[in-house]
Amino acid sequence: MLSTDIQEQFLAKLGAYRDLSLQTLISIIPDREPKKYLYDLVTLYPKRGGKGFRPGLCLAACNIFGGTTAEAMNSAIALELFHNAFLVHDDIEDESDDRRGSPTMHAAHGIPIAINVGDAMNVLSIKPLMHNIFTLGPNLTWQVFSEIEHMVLESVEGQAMELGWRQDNLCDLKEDDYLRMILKKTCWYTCIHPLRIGAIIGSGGAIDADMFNRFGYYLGAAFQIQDDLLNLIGDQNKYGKEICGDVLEGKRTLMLIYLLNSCNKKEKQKLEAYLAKRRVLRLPDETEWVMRLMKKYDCIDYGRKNAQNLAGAALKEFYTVFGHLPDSEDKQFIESMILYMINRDY
Amino acid sequence: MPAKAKQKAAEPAAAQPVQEKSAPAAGIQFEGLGNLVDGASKIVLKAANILEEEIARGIVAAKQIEGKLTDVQKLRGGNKEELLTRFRQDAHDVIDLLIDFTTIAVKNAGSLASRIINVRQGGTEGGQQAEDPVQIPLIHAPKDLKAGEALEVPITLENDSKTDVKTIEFTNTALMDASNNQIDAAAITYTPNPLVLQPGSNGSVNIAIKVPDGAKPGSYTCFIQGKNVSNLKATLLVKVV
Repeated sequence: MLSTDIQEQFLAKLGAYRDLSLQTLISIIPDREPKKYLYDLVTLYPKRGGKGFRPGLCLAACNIFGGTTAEAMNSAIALELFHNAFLVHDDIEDESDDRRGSPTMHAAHGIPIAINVGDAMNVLSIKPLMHNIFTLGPNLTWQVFSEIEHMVLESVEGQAMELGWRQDNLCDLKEDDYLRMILKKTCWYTCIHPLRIGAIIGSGGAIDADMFNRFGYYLGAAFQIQDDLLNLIGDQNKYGKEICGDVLEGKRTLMLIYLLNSCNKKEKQKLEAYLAKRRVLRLPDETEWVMRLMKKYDCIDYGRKNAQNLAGAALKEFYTVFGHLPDSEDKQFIESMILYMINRDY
Repeated sequence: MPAKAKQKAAEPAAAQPVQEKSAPAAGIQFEGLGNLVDGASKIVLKAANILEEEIARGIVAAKQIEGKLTDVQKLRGGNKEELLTRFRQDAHDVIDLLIDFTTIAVKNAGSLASRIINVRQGGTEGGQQAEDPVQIPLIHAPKDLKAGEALEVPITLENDSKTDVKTIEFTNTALMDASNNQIDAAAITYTPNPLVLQPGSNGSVNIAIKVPDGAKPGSYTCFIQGKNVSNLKATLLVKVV
């Protein structure tokens, strides 16, 4: 665990960056109609109090490498908008009910409106990136665009992998498949690119951003596995999504893949049959049976250990990448984030 | 494509024991992490290999994209109307969308700014356009300030529209520095506010900065925006010593 003081400092910094980026994000949303069916909804998810990891990492990295919070703000809010657009569309694709403690966008406003809100968020995120040209100049603006293009493409490819696995009910997946999928779906856009973009801006383009790839991957993987663990065993009031929702959705988490590779033949057949059903046809007692099976094969412990191993690796990489830099609040912020990723309960 | 395979020479993190010199520098207590970083972990080794594979694949993809860019060089060299027409016809190609919008923005940064409002630091005298329009929106306070001190920065704005009167109401975010120290947004005021600009005219607004007592030293920045002019946006840099 992080000591209480350090954790409070980390949360305060995370909250400050989140609030600042949210304030700026809201300021770029067009103040015109149609509000009820579009622009009021664009800020719905951001205002629900997401953690703000992505803008936080981007802004902190920019400051660490010599830039200012203001210089990276356009890129930080673009990251947050892309993230929230992903969430709106993911929730539809996953048929999820809850997001950050309230009904998902499509549950509250219908699928057609929700799809359009997600599209709008993607388009709106382009504008702050275009505005970079006035504060960063053409070369850095171009570099940030290149980063974003790679980030978005990787994310949709990762999402396609996961959706395809579920659609075709693949049950012979291995740990490697999962690691590749989360690299593409989660890690590039949650950790690697926010760090890269922040450092590129902060250094005026002088930094070799590849140095963050491994650190960001380990950090993002630890984050994703912890998120999947919380979905299985978390407190719904804190976590904000329905517990066991991933099992109900047939999501190929590390724990489910481990279970499929650990259980006996009879259990696997039953599990495959459960996963082959549509979500609405999966019965509560069947889902409880999957949870009991996970307990039988220590899947939670397996996931937790792997998240801790990846966090340990991220910590080592942190010292390699950031160790030579002078101590600062932002450096401590990123260091603290590593353990926060695996100790958080929401 | 930003990512390149430059890390192959380095061993995956968890394959190496943590060195003494790698101890946390910022006083963080890593209780509970135990010896996790000491032992080689199968999942970390796998992750390292997968990352290298994916990055290598990305390099191939980058070359394909470069080839695609070569094809649009001719268009990019043409006028922006032609480019926008092409964009409207082929709006699904996101890569070209981003690239070509950037190109337009770079080539027309001056005209983009002038179409809305030109911002120039200093008084109304002189009247010359800054040479590099990209640099215009960064406003430096002309001298460093101590806590409790105040300063006014005159800013000139031009309305290049030949027909529209522009009424600009200024607003700004809080000032923030790299250490997360903040100065309340109310520390900055504008005279006049709003500023009314007749078509084709210049006008000046004084940005008054009052650094509060007790403000910590640092380089503070904030965004200044025109509430009703969506593209009027500048960064104000104030150094508190």
